[in-house]
Amino acid sequence: MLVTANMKQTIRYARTYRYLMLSKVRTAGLVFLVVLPASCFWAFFSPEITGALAYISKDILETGLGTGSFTIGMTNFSLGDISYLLTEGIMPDILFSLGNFLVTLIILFILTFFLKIRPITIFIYIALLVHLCSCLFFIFFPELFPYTLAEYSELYMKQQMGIFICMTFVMGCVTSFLPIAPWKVILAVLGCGIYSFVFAVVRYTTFLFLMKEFSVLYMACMFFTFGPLIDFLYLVSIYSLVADHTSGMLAKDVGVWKW
Amino acid sequence: MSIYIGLCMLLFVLMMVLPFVPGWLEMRRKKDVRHLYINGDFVRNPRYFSTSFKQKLLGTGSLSILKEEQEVMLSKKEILIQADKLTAGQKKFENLVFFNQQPELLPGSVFHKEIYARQNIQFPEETLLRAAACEENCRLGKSSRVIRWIDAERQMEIAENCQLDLSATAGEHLLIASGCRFRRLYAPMIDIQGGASRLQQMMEIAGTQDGLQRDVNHIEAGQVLGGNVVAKGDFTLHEGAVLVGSLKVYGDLLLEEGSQIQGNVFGEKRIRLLGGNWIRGSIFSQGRIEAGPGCIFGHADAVESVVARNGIVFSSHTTVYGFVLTEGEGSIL
Amino acid sequence: MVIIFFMKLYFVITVLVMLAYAVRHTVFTYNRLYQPQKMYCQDILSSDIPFVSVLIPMHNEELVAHGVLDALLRCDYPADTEGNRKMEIVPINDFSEDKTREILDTYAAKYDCIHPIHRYSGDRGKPAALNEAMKSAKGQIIVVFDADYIPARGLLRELVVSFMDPEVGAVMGRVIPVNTEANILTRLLDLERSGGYQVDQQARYNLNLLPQYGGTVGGFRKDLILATGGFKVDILAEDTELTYRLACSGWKIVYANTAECYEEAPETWEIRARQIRRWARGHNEVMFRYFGTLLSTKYLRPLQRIDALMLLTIYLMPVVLLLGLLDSLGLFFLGEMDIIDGWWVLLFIGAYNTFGNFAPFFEVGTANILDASRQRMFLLPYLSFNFYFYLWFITQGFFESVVDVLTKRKASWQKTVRFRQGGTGV
Repeated sequence: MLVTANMKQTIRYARTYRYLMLSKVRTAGLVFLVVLPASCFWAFFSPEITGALAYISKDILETGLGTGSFTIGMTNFSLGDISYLLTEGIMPDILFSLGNFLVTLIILFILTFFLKIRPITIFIYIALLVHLCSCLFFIFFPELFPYTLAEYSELYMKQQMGIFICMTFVMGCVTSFLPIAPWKVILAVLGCGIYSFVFAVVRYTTFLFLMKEFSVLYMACMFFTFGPLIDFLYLVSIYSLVADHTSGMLAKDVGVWKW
Repeated sequence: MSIYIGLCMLLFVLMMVLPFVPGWLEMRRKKDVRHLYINGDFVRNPRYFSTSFKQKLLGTGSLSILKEEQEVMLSKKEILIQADKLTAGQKKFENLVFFNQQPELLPGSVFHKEIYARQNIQFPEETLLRAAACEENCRLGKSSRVIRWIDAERQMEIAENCQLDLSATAGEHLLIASGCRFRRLYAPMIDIQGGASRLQQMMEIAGTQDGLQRDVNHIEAGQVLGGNVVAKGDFTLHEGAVLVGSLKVYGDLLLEEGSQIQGNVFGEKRIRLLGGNWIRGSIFSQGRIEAGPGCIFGHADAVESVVARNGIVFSSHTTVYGFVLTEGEGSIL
Repeated sequence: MVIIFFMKLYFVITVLVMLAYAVRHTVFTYNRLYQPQKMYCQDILSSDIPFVSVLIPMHNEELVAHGVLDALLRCDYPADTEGNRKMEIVPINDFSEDKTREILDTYAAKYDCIHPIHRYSGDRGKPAALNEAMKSAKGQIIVVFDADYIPARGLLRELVVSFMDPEVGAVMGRVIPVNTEANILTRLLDLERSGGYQVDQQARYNLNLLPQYGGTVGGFRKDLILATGGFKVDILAEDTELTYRLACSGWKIVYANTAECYEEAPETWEIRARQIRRWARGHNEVMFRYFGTLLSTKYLRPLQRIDALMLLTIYLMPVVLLLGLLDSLGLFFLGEMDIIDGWWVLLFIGAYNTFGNFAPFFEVGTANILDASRQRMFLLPYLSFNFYFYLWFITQGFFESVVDVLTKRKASWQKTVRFRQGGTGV
C-alpha cells in the first residue's frame, strides 16, 4: 500500500523520552581524526607555538618597554620544549606591599558590607583574598618569594600549553557528540583554538607588562584569577553557539528523534 | 606604554567580555525567555485522538450534516466532504470525509484525511486510511491499514492481517483477528481471536498482599504464594501456580500454563506466558511480552494495562480488559 | 618536605576526584542523548491505582494557597466504585500568622476531600508537619507538593501509578521554574534545573542508579516511612535522607520525567544563597549519617553504590575543591607549582565539569537541545561565576553541618520566600 506524505506518518515525540541515534562511525572518526590530532597538534608543535607566542608578545612589549628588554628562553615541558620570555620584574618594596594590602582590605570591607551578594562579587572577593595573601607574603617574607618574572613566565607558558590541549580536547569532545556535520565540529575546534591562541598572546603580554612596569606582587592574583576559568568562558560560549544551532536544526527535522 | 601595548590590554579585556555578549543580547531581546510549556489540562485518555478530532469537528456547533462541502478548522483549515453519495467507482478520497449513513465502500479504498462516520461503517479489505472516528460500530476489512488511529464509540472489529500503525480503540468492545499488527489498543474489553473462554475459572484467591519477599525465584506447580515479590534474576511460575500479590522481576519471567498473578507485574526483561494465564492487574515490561493462547489480562469492570517497550505478541483466545501499548511492534499470531 | 608531599598528594587526589565526576556526567549526558530511554510507567491506565493523600506543608502561604488547592481539585484521579475520588488533600498549616488558616478552613467547608491540619505546637518545620499529617492520612501513598506549585490535571496519577511496582518506595517528578522571565538568576536556575532533571536524573533512572527524591512533586509509601520513625526533624534535607533511607533498605526511587510541575525559583541572590547553604547543610548532615550505611548495605550493586556515594558527597565537593585551591595557593607560594608542570588546568576542568552548578555545561546544553530550547543557552557562560557563588555558600553550609553533628545542634527550618501574587498561577 502506498502511503503518501500527507498521511502524516511522522510523529513528533515529546521532550520527556526522546533521544537521538548516534553515528558511532562518525563520532569515532571525529574523535580519532580531528579531536585527538588537534589536541596533539599543540603538543607536537609546542616549540613553534610557544615560540610564536613569545615572539609576538616580545614585539608588542618592546614597543613600549624598549628593545632588548626581553629574551627568549626554552625549557622542557612534559610533551616537548617550550619557549618563553625572560625578563626582570619589579619586586615590591614594603610600602608598596602595605599600600596594596590596605587598599585591598578597604575594598574587601566595602564588598562585605555595602555590596549585594552576587556571584561576581564573590569572584572579586576571592580574587582580592588571593591578592591579600600575596601582599602579606611580600610584607613578611619578601626574600622567600619563589618566582622571578622569568620563572613566572615559564610557569605561565606551561599552564598555557595545558590550556591549549585541554580546551581543544574538551571542545572537540563536546561538539563531536552533537548531531552536527563534521565540518561544523572542525570549525568549532578551530575557532576555539584560534581564540585560545589570540587570548593567550594578549593575556601573556598584559601580565608581563603589568608585572614589569608595576610589580610582581600581582603575580598570584593573575595566575589564579585570570587563569583557566577565563578560558572556560570562551569555550562554553562557543559551545552554546553550537548547541543553539544544533537545537534549531533538530527542530526542523522532526524525523531524527527516536522514542 | 605604547599604543600597541594599550591595544593589547584592551583586546585582553574585550576577549574576556566577549563570551558574555550573546547572553547579554539574549537578556535584552528575550527571544527564549518563556518557561517550558506544560499542558495543565493534559490527562491520559487512550481515545484522545478521536475525542480531540470530534471536539474540533463538532465542538463549534457549526458543522452542517447536510452540506456537501464545507470548511472546518483542525490543525489547519480543511475541506470536509459529505460523502454519502459516492461517485461510482470512487476509491480515493483526498479530503476530510464524513458519512451520515453507512456507506458502500470499495475494496482498496484510500482515505488521505480523517473520516467521521455518524452511523456504522465497514471498511472493506485492503482499505488504506489515515484516521477514522465512528459514532457506532466499525469494522475494518482484511489486510487494511490505518496510518494513525481508528476509533468506534461502541464496537470495533478488526479483521485478519490488518496493520494498525498507531491506535485502535473502542468505547465498548474491540475484537481483533489473527495476523494484525498494532501499537496501541484500548477498549473496556479487547477480545483477540475470539477472546478467552475461561473467564469463569479465573477466581480470585483470598490472600494477603502485604510484605515484600526478595529471595524467591519461582513458585512450584499448584502452589499459592501470598505477598509481593521482587526477583533479582529470572522468575518462573510453574504450572497452575498462583501469586497473590504483585511481582517485580529483573530477569526473564515465565508463566507456565494455567499460572496466575493476582496483582501487577513489572519486568525489566522478557515476559512469557505459555497459555491459560491470568494477570489480574497491569503488566509492564521494559522488554517484550509474549502471551500464549487463552490468557486474560485484567478483570471485568476495571481498566488494566499491558505495556511493553520492545514488543507484544498475543495468541488466540486472549482477553485484555483495558489498554495495550508497545513502543516496539505488537502482533497477533 | 613531608608537608609539601601531602599538599601535592592532596592536589592530585582532588584533580582525580573532580575528573571522576566529570566522567560520570559525561556518561549521563551520552546516555540521555543517545541511548533508548527506560520507560516510566506513565502509560499504565489502571482502575486499581492506590488511594493517595496529598500533603502540602504551608507556613504563611496566603499568597499561593489558592493556586495549589484549585489545581489539585481539578486534577484527574480515578474514583472508587462509589464514585468518590481516591484522594484526599491535606494542607498542613504550620504555625502560620497570616490568613492561611482561614483560607484552608474555607476550602475544607466546601470540599469533602480537603482535610487541613493546623499546627501551633510541637516542632516547627516541614519534617514535623509531614510526620503529624501522615499519622492521620488515609492514603497508602503520600504525595508532597510545596505550596507554590501548580500541578497539572494528570500529574497526580502520573506520580502514583509508579507505586503499582511493589519495589518502588518513592517517586520524583520534574520541576520546571515558571518565573524564568523575572531576572538573570531565575534564567540561570532554569538552565541548572533542566540539566539536573532532564539529563542527570533521567540518566540515573535509565542506568538503574539512584535518582534522588526531591521532597516535592514526588511521593512515597506512607507505611515505609512511618515504620522507620517518620521524617527526621533534626535534618534539614529530609528529602535526601528519605532517598538514602529507602535505597539502603532495598527500595527503589523512580524518576518520572513525564511528571512535570511548575515551581517558583528564588528571585534574589540572597534567598538563593540561603537556600543553597541550607541544602548544603542538610545534605551533608545526611552524608554524615549515611556514609557508613551506604558502604555496608547489601541492597546496592557496586555501580549503584558508587553513584550513590558520589551523589551523597556532592555537597562536599566544593569544600574539597576550595581546599584544593588553597592547597594550590600554598604550593604556589612555596614554589612547588612544577608538580603538575602546567597540568593544573585539569583541576578547573574537573571542577567546572563536576559541580559547575550541579550540572556541567554540556549537561545543560544537552537538556536544552532535548527541550528544544535555543537562545537561553547563550547564558551558559554566566553560570561560570555561580561556580564561586556555590563554592562560597556550600562551604558555609558544610561547616554548619559539621557543627550540627559535633554539637548535636538542631537546625531550624526556613521557608523560602514567595514572590508570586495569589491566583491560580500560569
